[in-house]
Amino acid sequence: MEIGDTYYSKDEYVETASGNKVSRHTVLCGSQNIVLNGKVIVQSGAIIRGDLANVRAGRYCVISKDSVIRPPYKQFSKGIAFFPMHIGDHVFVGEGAVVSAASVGSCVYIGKNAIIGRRCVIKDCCIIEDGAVLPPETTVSSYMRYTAKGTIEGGQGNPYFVPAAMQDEMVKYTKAFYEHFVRTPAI
Amino acid sequence: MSFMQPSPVKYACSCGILNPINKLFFCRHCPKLRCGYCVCTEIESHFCSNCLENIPSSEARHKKNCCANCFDCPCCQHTLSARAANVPVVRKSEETKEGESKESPAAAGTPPATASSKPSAIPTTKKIYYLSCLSCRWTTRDVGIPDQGVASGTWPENECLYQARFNTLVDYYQSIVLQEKQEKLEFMRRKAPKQHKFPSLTDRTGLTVSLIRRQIGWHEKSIPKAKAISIPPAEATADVGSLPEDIFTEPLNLRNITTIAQRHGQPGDQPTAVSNLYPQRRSLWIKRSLRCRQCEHNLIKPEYHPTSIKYRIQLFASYHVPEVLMVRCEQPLQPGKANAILLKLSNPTMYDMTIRILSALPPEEALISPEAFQQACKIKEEVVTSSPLVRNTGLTLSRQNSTREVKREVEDVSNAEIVPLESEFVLSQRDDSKEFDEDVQLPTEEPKFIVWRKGNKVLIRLQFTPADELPPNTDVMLGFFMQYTYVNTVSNASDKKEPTTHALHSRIFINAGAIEKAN
Repeated sequence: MEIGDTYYSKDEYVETASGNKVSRHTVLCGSQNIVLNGKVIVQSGAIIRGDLANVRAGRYCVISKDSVIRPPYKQFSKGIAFFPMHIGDHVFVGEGAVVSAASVGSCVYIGKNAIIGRRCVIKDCCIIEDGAVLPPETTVSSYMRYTAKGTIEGGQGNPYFVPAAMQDEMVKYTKAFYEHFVRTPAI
Repeated sequence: MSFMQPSPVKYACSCGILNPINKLFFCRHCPKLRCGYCVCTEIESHFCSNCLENIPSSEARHKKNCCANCFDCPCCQHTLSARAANVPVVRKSEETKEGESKESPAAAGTPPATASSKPSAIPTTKKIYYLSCLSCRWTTRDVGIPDQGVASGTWPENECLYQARFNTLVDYYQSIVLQEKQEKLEFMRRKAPKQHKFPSLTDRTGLTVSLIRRQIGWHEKSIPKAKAISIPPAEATADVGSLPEDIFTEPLNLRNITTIAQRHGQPGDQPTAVSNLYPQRRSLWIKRSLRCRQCEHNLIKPEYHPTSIKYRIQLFASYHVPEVLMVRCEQPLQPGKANAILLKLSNPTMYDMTIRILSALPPEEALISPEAFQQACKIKEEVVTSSPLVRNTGLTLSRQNSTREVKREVEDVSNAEIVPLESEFVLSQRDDSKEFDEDVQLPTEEPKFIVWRKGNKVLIRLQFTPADELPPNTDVMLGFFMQYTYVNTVSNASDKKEPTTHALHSRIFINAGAIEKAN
């Protein structure tokens, strides 16, 4: 099904030269540590904690409403340390999701209200279902689907959980999302 | 509209099952759509999904399809991670005291008083490791597994009570298999006539090699016969023991009893008490390659490397079949009222396509017959036989024995009448550079049903009428045939160099939405 247009008002969103569209109603802490590599949409209510560590997001990422991107920490005997976080290209982060992964690969779909514990590693072409909770330090390898029940399913070549053409699907979806995320026409 | 929602547009697979296009494959040699039910699955590679290590299949078999380094929690089946803790080591005393660490104040067995009770020793710290589940907080200390000095590799195996007996049984049956194989070979050798083209002198004179050897006085040259090792047979016993006394008196604490899933996770001993749970070796995952069941060509073949997301062969339907996207219906759906739907079609191939939308199957002669097609691209036989899996396992995957395709009628679920388009139209080839071109469209004479056209995409308007008797809130299904020209680039016959064009058709069903309530 064709994606419908999502409209935003001119006053609410800031558009950068590289095509990033960032809402003004977001909390971007430590903005000097946040790198958005272009054509990234950050919707209202999202929180990106760049004050804790560097956050890099690739091209054509969608960070939906009320989601939280928070670099992971690790506890050592002498206190805690935060680690930088990398998000690949064509990543969709659903509404209300909390992402504290060490790295998120490319072409990853993170569902609504999913919680990704600290220092998780999410490889390319994964699906995290809506409402799934990933315990800390979980690895989700490519073409796996982390279900809301807490199981990992799928694998490359298994067409029932993650589509075999996940890369193309996500590229198409995030590009279409960006193209249909348009400014409200002036009346 | 979410990425995860099921697509309203379904394609009928050649086996008759409806699927969205992203679950379908397209066999270029047949040429037909294939879904997950009409393919053969092969294991491409084994890997551990936690440490992402590629494990060759022989090694995987040797390790019983488990990873050597990763463990699963016996409680919740999540991955265990190694935790480090510093313990003060008391020198001069042989026994290292397990001290309290910050991370698990409750788990350690010895109270902290013991370590500090010897003030004469120099306090040094040593790193020790234990496994802990970050999902359910289970640790190896809970069941009394001693902490290890290195993080991985030294965890003791969970040897169950019957391990020795089980191993002897396995050895016994393996020797039986070997013996039977040898006997069969011997039988075949005796039965079959001599294979020599030229009979040797000894054959004619009745002197066989073994006879000569015996005459000379050498011992018989023969391979030692495999003998089945004898094992003590299992003995049935009538005495099963009585239930312990306290089973009737002690109150049952369900927190200490394992669940079915936990017992099945440890099939060797199937513990009933949680104190007997043991870290489980993590099962390996596989990458699969799929083959068409008809012609046994690979449909997808992933790269070996566990972190690679690429394919060496990828015949997704979305690369060959025009994709139909439902945009919207023009009017609210009412039973028996004419309506129109906007569909976006895109051509994924490098060749122009001519598309017709039909309400019934086109006449047979217009289509190519699959047999003729297979004749046209006669596939080299060694493609099939060279598959190592087929040879090694001796699976009956040869062309003659391959699974017969079950002809199943596509269930017609449509409940609306479509008006077929009056003419065919051309969908131009995919050109990625067009995306960056200036949008200059030459005004061309277009058929009336084409609303918009850009590059390899076209928006068409298809008229339809839902059936009269549809009650409210029932989904309106549109069914039609899409006939398209497909340029076949796989012509293995050497005489034909240029690709051949075929007219193919697929049956498509679209869920247009629910009937609105009549006002």
